[in-house]
Amino acid sequence: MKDRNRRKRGKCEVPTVTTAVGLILMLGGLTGCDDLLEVELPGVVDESALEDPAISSLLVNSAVADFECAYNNYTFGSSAFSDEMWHSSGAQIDREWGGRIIDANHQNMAQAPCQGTGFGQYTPIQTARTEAEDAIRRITEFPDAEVANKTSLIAAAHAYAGYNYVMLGEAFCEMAIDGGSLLTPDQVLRMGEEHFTQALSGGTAEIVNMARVGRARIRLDLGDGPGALSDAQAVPEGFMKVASRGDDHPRRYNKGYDRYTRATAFTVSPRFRDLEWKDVPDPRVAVEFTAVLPTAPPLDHFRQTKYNSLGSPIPLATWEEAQLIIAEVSGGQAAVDIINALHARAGLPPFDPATDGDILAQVLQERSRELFLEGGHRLNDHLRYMGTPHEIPFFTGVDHLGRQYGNATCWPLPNVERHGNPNIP
Amino acid sequence: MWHPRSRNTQSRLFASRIRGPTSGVGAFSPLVLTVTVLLIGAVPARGQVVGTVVDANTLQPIVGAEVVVEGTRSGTLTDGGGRFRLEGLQGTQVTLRVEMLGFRTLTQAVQVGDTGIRLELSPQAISLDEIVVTGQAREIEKRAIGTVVASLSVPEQLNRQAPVNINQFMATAVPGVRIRNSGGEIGAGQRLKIRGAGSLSLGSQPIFFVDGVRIDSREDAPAANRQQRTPPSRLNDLPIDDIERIEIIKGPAAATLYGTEAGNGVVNIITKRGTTGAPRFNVQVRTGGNFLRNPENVFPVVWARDPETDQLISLNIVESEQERGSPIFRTGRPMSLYASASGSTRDGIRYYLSGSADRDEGIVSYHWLNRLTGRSNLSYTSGPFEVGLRLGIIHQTTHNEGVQQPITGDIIYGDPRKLDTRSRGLYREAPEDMETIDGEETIDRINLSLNLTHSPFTWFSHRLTAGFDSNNGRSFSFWPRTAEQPGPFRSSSLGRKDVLEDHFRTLTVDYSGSVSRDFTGDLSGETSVGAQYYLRENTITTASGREFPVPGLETISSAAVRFAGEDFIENKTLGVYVQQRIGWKNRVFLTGAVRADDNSAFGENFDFVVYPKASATWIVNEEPFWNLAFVNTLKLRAAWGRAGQQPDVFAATRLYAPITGPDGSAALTRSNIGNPDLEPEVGEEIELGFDASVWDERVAMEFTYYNQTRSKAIVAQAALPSLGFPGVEFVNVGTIKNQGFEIGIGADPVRRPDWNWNIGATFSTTDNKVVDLGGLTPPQFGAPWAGQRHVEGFPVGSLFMKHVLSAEWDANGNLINLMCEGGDPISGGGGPVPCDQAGTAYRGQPFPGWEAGMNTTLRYRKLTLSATADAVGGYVKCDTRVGWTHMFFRNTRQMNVPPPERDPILAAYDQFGGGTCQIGLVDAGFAKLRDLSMRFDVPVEWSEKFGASTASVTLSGQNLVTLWIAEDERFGHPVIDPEVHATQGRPTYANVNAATHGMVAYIQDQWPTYQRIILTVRTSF
Repeated sequence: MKDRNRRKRGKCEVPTVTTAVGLILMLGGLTGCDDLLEVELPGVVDESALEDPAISSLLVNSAVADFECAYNNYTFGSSAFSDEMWHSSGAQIDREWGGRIIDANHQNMAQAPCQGTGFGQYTPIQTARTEAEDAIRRITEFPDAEVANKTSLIAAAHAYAGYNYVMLGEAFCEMAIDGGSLLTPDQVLRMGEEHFTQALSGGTAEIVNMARVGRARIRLDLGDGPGALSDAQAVPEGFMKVASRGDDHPRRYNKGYDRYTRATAFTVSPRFRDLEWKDVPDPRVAVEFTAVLPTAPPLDHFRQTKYNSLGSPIPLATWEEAQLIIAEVSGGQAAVDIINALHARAGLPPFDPATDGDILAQVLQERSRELFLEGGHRLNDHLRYMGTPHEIPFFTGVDHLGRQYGNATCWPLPNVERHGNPNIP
Repeated sequence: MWHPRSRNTQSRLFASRIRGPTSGVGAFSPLVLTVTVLLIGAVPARGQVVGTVVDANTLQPIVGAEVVVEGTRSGTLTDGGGRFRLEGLQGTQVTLRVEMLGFRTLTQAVQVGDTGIRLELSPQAISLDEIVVTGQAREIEKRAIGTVVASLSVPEQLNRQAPVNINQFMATAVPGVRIRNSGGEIGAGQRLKIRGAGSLSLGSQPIFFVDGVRIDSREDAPAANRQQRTPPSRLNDLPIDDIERIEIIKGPAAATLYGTEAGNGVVNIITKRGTTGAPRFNVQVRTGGNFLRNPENVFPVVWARDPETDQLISLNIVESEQERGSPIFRTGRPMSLYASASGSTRDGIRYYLSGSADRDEGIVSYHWLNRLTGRSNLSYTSGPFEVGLRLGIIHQTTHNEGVQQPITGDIIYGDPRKLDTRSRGLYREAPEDMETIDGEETIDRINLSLNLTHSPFTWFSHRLTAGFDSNNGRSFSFWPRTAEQPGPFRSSSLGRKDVLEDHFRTLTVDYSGSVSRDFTGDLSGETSVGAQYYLRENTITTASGREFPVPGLETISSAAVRFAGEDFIENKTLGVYVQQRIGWKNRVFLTGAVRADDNSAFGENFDFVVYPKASATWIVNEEPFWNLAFVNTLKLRAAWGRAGQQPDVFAATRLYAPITGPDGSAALTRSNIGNPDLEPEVGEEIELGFDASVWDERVAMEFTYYNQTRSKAIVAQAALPSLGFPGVEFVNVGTIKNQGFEIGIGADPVRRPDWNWNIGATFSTTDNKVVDLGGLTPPQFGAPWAGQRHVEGFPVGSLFMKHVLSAEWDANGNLINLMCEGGDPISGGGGPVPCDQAGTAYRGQPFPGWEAGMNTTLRYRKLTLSATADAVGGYVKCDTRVGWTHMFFRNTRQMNVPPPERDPILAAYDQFGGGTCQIGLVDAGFAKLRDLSMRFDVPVEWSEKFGASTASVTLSGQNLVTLWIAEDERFGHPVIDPEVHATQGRPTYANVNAATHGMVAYIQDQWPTYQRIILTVRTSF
């Protein structure tokens, strides 16, 4: 039992009632309460254990674990919220996500953890962000000699911290960091950009390319076309960084498979069924009809085939995304070339702007297919082009089960933050 | 129901006058010798009388009654069968005087030589000399106790009615005690509360002891076969037939000596003990039926529009299944056998041995319970020492449909358009699908209590109680893989098994000592000290498997996806107390005490907590100046005291939890922000009241006013997410007030030799309010759509939601003029405003504001009729069945008729969305006839023909009639059973909902309470 984690109360303060003290002594020669009130904590870790340089890699791994968990929810929660999926379970929480009935008091969005029903967002992402930044701080302060691969560990933590800011900056209408004052999405994204910049120095090749894609994404969001182009062009062909998923614990389940497919809680929306290009089925958005669901009215369930197991990894940063960033920034023939290169990989006929229409619209169409159910890109495109000629409309009006859609677009800063944060008036 | 009298079988008062043959203390009087000789079966002699002493109300034998021949020194105590024998009497007639605590003294002339005497004692309305052990430093008479202490005689109650579980037993018998029932599912538990909601975050359950030892009384015990809404209560494991009495103290004023954890009250269960004399055997057999009366009228008809004709169509699913020859519900057949032996050996060891076998069946084939129990209670007295060893064992298995949504949900959420599908109109599953699932929980439980009392001097005695309660449970839910895919249970039909092992252990060491002294002839004093040590440990191990490759596999190892978990929590309390009591002329008593506690869950920056108390009682009718002859008893009492409630086990500590990282690697995550300054909640209470009986004790009354303040109430404040910790932070910032009054009245309108009639009634109120939240935003908890918050100025956990006051249809079928309650953005209270400008509004409290009970017993010779009813009101409930059928499943008539026939208010809520509880909010008051029983006591001459000394037959009906429902429908949808609630306590979102603790104010798809007919045959040998 010597190695077991124990929590001791402070020195036992038995009241100064003489009789009572005498009584305790009489009970068996008790000399103090420390032992009597000591309890074991064999299943959890006290914070003091994190002060050990020997667990530096564990700290980063923990930050990655929490990021992947949050990213899982972000990917499939944003897809449910966007026009990619329809809710189909009958559960209220699914209807709220699918119906865009998400407000500042939405407890599932604000406070639910990664695992379980629904798609907890705000708290899991903030937890992952603070884990990464805490790892950076602790490892930086540890003596260099006591941390193996210190530089690359710190770079990795920066890269994952950057992606946490991507999620917070792209989907939320407002933000607060570390109990601070209100931030705009652009301010948040710039914080992420700084993390990616830090990750570019000292990281492994995989981390560097991940940071390049991430920074290109943020710069695209911020309207920094040249910066985005520069980063995206540096990403080598075939690069793919994924968020791992596993069937070893519900926390690690791929929610696209678990909730969309296995639980039939969401069905692929009609906008993404039977997609073709010039009469050729597009394999990038392959869906299958599974069954008629017993909702009222009955609903056809189409399952996505991108994620076919609980352990299917989720793309995080890819060469394809980088290529589409280049296409979007560059436009013109450069964009057409990229589109057609991607078509060729998918076995689709080429795109011809002379007959097939607007290039930017096609880039967005290619993003919707190439990045289908990946990393919140569809929601980001809804929001980026809202109010422009290329707006991608959300579903509105009455939904497929006879209910009214909500009016949420970006996700509001949860009231649990707004009301509890002393720096937000 | 309320019975002010007591039924202690052995009183200290009488023990001082007549000792049983094994007491070994006190003078060796001729009377003791007489008793000794008689009880060991002396040789018959001339001039004898033989008979039995029984309760005039219940006709049950009274053990330990004193029977004396007036004018002589001849006397005895009745044995375990209520029998007595007096010999060596002179003359042809003598007068017997019979005395027993809790009963009026009886004087009756009998013929010498009569061996069939039957003496009936009428219960006393109020007994001030009744002994109470709970909440006292040592056993003490009620006259000296400054608070109300309910003492329930279980055997007496079971003689009146069919058995119920312990929770229900207390709730129907004691004012101020209420349960929240999770429905008519075998094995589903209840939540018990005394005097309202005492805490914002820690629950309001009292602590429980069996024979002085803390027990596993979890109301939300973990089980893999129970839905979160209907967790089992470990209290229900205890066999009620083994219990002699239950003592309940209700609040901090009475529970101070129990210190931390006792702020919500204390319940002490005292099991039966051995009697002196020859063995007496009791055998009891019960059987009957559990059924749902007219189920086709219980569940709503489901509606839709025909997809082809657009005509309105409907389906009564229950009726449809009945007509098809496959009724969904059946009549369950409960059966039980209970046997006990009680007596003493020649060595003076008193014993009570019992065993029982129970089978209970619900209203569907897969709801059942099997239970085997055994108990051995031994006690021995030698000189100044008294030893008691009490051991109970329980083996119990319950079965259900696991955590699958029950068939009741499939009925309620059905659709007439699916009539010709596989589900025959039910939502998803056909009734027979449910029978393929196994949900099971097996527990093996043992509790032991060792009690050592040493009384070396008349002025000093001390006692050590030690013991444990150990519960080992194993539960699982199992869905076989179905050949047909996709199967009826969606992903679970691929095969699924969840297993949970729950090991819970308590340890109690309790020492107390008392020194008493008479200062003068009138003034007496008693000083008591004590120390207690409590330990609780809980290990929970879980394992789950998903997706069996082929049908027929059942083990987790054979599943494609497997995972496991293990949790361990531990909590320890150490407390000491000192108490001083002063008595004057045995009719005025003043008591003061101080207790101090330390607990392993307190924050590191907090040392210990001190709880003081003071109380006074005055037996006014024993004063010389008292001249109101019609008042037989009048006791005034007043008390003030404090007790506490400790935080959750790890609430004070900042913790990280191990998790599975990328590719299965090891990782940590932030799990609990912790608060090192965390202290226990402190409950403070003033209690005032009186106990009185009048008119030859025909009418008795108990009145109590209480005023509780819970300060340093722990609020589960959501941790600020941007700081990175999930869940909640517990902080001591709240203040709650509870006040109300409790009345119990009992009357014996008729007392005749052949027949008597008594009635009892209770009424209590609770005014609960959150006084202070320390400036925090009113925290929301529970299901987000239920709108429950703690808000200053309103009852704990009240419901706040948008409140539509009016709406209209225009000529085109559009909703117009939607007006909602305005005012404060959370609590409303203002005039109508357009709904899009309105916030939420207070809609009611989740707990009853008042409760009432009534019982009556009418006996004519050997036939006894009893009835028990109860009622609650002044609260609301969110019936999500109403909300979801209207809003999501849209299978109600209202949602299938067009404007203007559709209620515009309903349409308005529907338009807002997220209003499940807005539509399903109902006034939750109701009254039910709980029990209607008829008992026939078999004449002795009949029972003796088959060798029994006594026998009785009781026929009981439970829950037969709902007398009143405050709101029986909502927008045309029936409220199925107003009594049923969700009783969950475990968190839904990490710790966010840890504050629920049975406060959730909604019902989802639980089973309605069923009716029960029970036939009980009791015999004694």
